Amino acid sequence: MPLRGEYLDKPTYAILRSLGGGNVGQAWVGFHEIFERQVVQKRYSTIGLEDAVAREEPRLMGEIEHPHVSEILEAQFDPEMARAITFVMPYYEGGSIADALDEGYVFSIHQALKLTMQALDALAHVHVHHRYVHRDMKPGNVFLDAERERVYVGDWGSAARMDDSGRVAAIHGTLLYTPPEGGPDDGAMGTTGDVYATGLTLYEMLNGPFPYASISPEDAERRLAEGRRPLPDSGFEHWDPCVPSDLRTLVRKAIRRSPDDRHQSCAFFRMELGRVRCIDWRRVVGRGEDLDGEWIGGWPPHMRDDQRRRYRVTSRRLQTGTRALEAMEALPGSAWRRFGVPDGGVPPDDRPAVERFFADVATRAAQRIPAR
Amino acid sequence: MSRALGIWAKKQEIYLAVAEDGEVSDADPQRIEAPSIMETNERLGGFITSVRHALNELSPDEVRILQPEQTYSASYSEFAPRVALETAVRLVCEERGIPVEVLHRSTARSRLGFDRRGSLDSHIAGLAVVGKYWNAGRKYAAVAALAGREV
Repeated sequence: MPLRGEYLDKPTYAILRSLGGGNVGQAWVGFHEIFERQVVQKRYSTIGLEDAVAREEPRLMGEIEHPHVSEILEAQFDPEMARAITFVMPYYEGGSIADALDEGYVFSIHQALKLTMQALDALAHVHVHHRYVHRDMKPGNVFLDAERERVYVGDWGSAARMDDSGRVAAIHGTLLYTPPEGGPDDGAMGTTGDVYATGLTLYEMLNGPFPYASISPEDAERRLAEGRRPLPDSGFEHWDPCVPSDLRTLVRKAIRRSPDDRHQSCAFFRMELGRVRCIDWRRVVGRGEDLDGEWIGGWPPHMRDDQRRRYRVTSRRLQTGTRALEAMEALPGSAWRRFGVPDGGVPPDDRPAVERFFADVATRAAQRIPAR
Repeated sequence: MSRALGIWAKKQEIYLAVAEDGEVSDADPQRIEAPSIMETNERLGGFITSVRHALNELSPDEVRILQPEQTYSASYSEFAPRVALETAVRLVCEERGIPVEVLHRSTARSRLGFDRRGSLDSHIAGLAVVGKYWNAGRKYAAVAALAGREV
């Protein structure tokens, strides 16, 4: 039996606030009075769209059953706006990855890897079982639970079904995350386009957000139209010094210009990320590529967080004009103690020396307790 | 002829080999590890996800897991993770409706027509090396993949 009209004295939803909107859509945070949970209502106009296309996003979300894909709770033709559809999704308290980055939240390396592996799991599932390419993967479309330990890939409004050769027409979605093969007017992409965008999302989780304010949209668009990455190669090399070299190699591979040079599926990218072995560094002072900072990490990864040894690295420029690097170690429940020999004579801008220091700490930590 | 996936498990990883029409291929993935960034308890879940993706990629009609030699002996800490990985593979196959056979070595030798004398390794030495990780253990996965029931 279909649901009948709304009981006006006791509406099912209370609208809490607007999330804003654009030309074709609007969104609100609401509260479902019976489920007693916060939800997001998303309304979009279907004017100019064929029915099949107009209903694509809620229909696809209704079809996909995956723990890391944003679920859909309800969908209806909007009673207030002609030819509009409103659908209801859970509200994710952790916001999106973009929200987290904007507020200055710093992901630990393991956290970034696990969240990315979850997103890749979801994308691989949709690629294989539904034959859709997301086409608009980016930090703003990956939502987080309150603890920021689980992701939900959302906003499937740009997704398209692959043809027999596994390709879809590219769209000029979000400039920075559009893969180079999607840049030209007749551009097309396959699942490796989602690999590319997910690689960029991981890059930002590891290093902080791109310097959007200093990026010229005109330059980026011109480069994309020529089938190149929207930023020069140097734009993708602002690594936090704690990020280990093998992880950098995997991210670089995911975001290569040529789709043939990338991980050939989200599933393979996920498996490769699972092989990374490193201290779970989280930066507590400083951001991005800046060499001044403090990092705290846990080792070994196979142990529970509260059973791991803690490591702390500080890197600071001294008034003498050199850089001081220091590492500390703490056993569970114990105080910090010096770990190895501090290095006080590094040239202040010697990035490779700082990166080597992190690698040395990792090597010595693994000598004390090998990873299993 | 069906497409068979052979599996050989170690403590932290499994090796995979696909055989079709009596030929081993180098289809990927050829090795799956329990994700090393995860805690011990999370790893099995991460491994199961990887096995699901591998079955998507390889699309086998049947899966055969080669047992260790009868004289295999190991400590609990060595043995239990290996059995856990084998069990995880069997569960995912069950979920997908893919038949699984846990293959005794003597059965594999018999089906492949290997002489009863000599070690399994000595017989494998006669097989062409295909793909990666052959000597790390994938050669046993290839044996499992090739050792289908006669019809």
